[in-house]
Amino acid sequence: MARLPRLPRLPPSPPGSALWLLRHELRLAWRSMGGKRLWLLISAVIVLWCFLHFASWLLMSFVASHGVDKLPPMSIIAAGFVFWLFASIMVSQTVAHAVAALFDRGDLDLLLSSPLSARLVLAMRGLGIAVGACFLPALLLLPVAHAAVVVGLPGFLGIYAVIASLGLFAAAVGMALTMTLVRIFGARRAKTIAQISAAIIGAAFFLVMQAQNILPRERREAFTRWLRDETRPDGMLSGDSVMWWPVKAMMGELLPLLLVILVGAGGFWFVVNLAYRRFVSGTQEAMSGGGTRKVATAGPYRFRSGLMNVLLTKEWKLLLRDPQIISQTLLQVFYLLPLMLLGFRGDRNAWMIIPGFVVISAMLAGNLAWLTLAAEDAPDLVGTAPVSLNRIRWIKALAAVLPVLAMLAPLVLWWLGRDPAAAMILLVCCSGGMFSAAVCHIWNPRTGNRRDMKQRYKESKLTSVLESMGSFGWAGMAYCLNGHWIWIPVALFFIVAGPGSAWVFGRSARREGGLA
Amino acid sequence: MHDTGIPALKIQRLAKSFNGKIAVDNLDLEIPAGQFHALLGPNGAGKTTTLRMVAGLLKADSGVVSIFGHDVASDATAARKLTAFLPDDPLLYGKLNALEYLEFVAGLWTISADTAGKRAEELLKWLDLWDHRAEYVEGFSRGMRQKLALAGALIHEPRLLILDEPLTGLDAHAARSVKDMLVDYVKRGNTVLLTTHILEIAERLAEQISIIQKGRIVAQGTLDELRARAGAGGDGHNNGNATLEDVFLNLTEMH
Repeated sequence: MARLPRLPRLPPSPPGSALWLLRHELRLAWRSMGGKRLWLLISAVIVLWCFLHFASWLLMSFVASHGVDKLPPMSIIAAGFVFWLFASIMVSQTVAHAVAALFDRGDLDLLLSSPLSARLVLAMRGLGIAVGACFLPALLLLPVAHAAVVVGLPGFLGIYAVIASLGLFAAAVGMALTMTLVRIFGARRAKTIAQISAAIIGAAFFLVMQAQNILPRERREAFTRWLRDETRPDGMLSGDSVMWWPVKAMMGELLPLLLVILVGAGGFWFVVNLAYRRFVSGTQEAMSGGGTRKVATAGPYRFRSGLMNVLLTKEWKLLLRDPQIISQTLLQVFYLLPLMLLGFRGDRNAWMIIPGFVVISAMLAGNLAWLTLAAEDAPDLVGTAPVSLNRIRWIKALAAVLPVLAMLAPLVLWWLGRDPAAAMILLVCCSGGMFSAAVCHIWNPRTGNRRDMKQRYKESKLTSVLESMGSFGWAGMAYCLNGHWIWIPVALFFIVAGPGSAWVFGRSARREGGLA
Repeated sequence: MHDTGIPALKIQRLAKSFNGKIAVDNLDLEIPAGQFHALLGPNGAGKTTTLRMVAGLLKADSGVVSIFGHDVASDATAARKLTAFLPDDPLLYGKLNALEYLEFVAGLWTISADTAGKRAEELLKWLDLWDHRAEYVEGFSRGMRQKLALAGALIHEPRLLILDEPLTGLDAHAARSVKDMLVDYVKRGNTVLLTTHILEIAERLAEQISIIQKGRIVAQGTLDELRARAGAGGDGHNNGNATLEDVFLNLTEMH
């Protein structure tokens, strides 16, 4: 058993106290982050922090030498935009955490049935969410506060208060949103919606970055004009707007600071009380257990036969019906979108984006192959079937590759009429990349758990490295076939090395039999 | 109805160890076709390891297992066609409904859709799951899951049914219907091998009982035969109407 690094010792606290409960929350959060490489991560964070302190010191020295009140209003507006971006990211994070903390973890029943005050339990749970949400902004912004003190601007210590308030506020919004979603849609669907929206918020950032490639020029210009008008001194978003008060609070301005603290702490207190009433009156629904869901089956159900047919249907149903899987693969599909749009715009540079398609489609297919092969829910059942295991494995790989191929099909067809060579290379290299990713799971079978898709890279690091070797090989091949012939041997090397190593490393696992 | 000469299950000198620790130690067992056989043993005696090797889920270090004459290692497909294995905690697919699950299992055993559809309906009705046929399995209670897994094991009409602790988690009503079903199944000429902790099940249902201890069979016979053995070898008291519990404790302590 791998021992998790221990949580740094906190001062002892009497059982049942607020501190004790908070400690419980933080320990769970700590362990869910955990893994053998946690210390590596922590060291990386420390190095990053030192660097950020240095950079902040340069920045703040510059600010101090010019005087804080001389800052151009535009810098406050820019900082304000960043602040709200952070706030929205934090809220998307807290929604996901609140679903887990309030409905999914299943220990709330235990805690609420204990003699501890329910209000305290919920407040500490919320505080746990808030602390988690503060991590990133604290990492990035606290160096600024420290540097500011060094250069003689103690007002910037307001950053501490603002981050804490923002964390409380995000936790409050996250919890309130989650409870509202649950109230409207029921626990099950709320979870789906929360997960999918978290994926969309995550991808939105990427899409916004890509907007300038995607949007028509007039749109872009209209938006820029609007932004310029509104940020003038008399506009809605001028430097004096309430929108930017959080930034002023960070700089230590008293009124904004008080307001930010009031909104953060007050909002948190309000939501905790709301949650308390909701839970005590028993209107909460548990995520797990109960609440069976009818699946609409119109008329009698017709059985299918044939191994291929039945197996593919089963794999696809399981993929489609799992919101967690959908929300996570959706993210990769989003990355595919801008490329697709570029592809359909029919630039002459279409060739250049083929390697991108290869890498992303192989990643998608690799993830799906992991789900169909390694994360089989009933390996015992499949393993005892009177069918050759190899056949089952290949059909399962096909179940992973076909959906991605279907996504690419329109583009291939579109290109076929305009640039058949590019279409063929797209088709061949993408299929190559996808199959080589899937083959890594066939040849080096490892068991996994569907619920733990995020853990997959940690657990079977080797398989994911080999997977990407193969897909980079195929992406390289796509590049080489565009006239860079000389590099073909290198691409071929990677193409062979990825699945080849999987075959070598997986020998004993294959011999043991079993699906994975 | 089946040819009598070939045993349903024949295990010869089966051995398996994990990291040098012996789990199954040259185990021999022969079960004639049409018998209800119970494998009894304390925790860690090697029951599950044995069953998993019989089901072809685990490779044996040495030894031969054959099912109706088909070697599970060299003639796996033929052996598996005749067998169903039900693990103690059957893992089902949360996001399939009961009918879809049975469709999938039937597909694995290449049963035609028509036959499978009819049989699925019979099984689900008989196990009181018909009203839940369109619900996702993730909402099922443990007992319902167990029953569905059993329906899955029966849908391809195996001649040898292997069950690992089949009655765990079932309420009295469900347990009774499963027991009745198993007895009925054997009456129709099929063979059942089950492991259990619940001595009462072995006592009531099984024609033959094997007691497994430290990876080998330490005693085998009908309940009466085992009683006699325990009485002769043990402390001698109360052997006339000793329960299986007495016999079991007696025999497993002796070894």
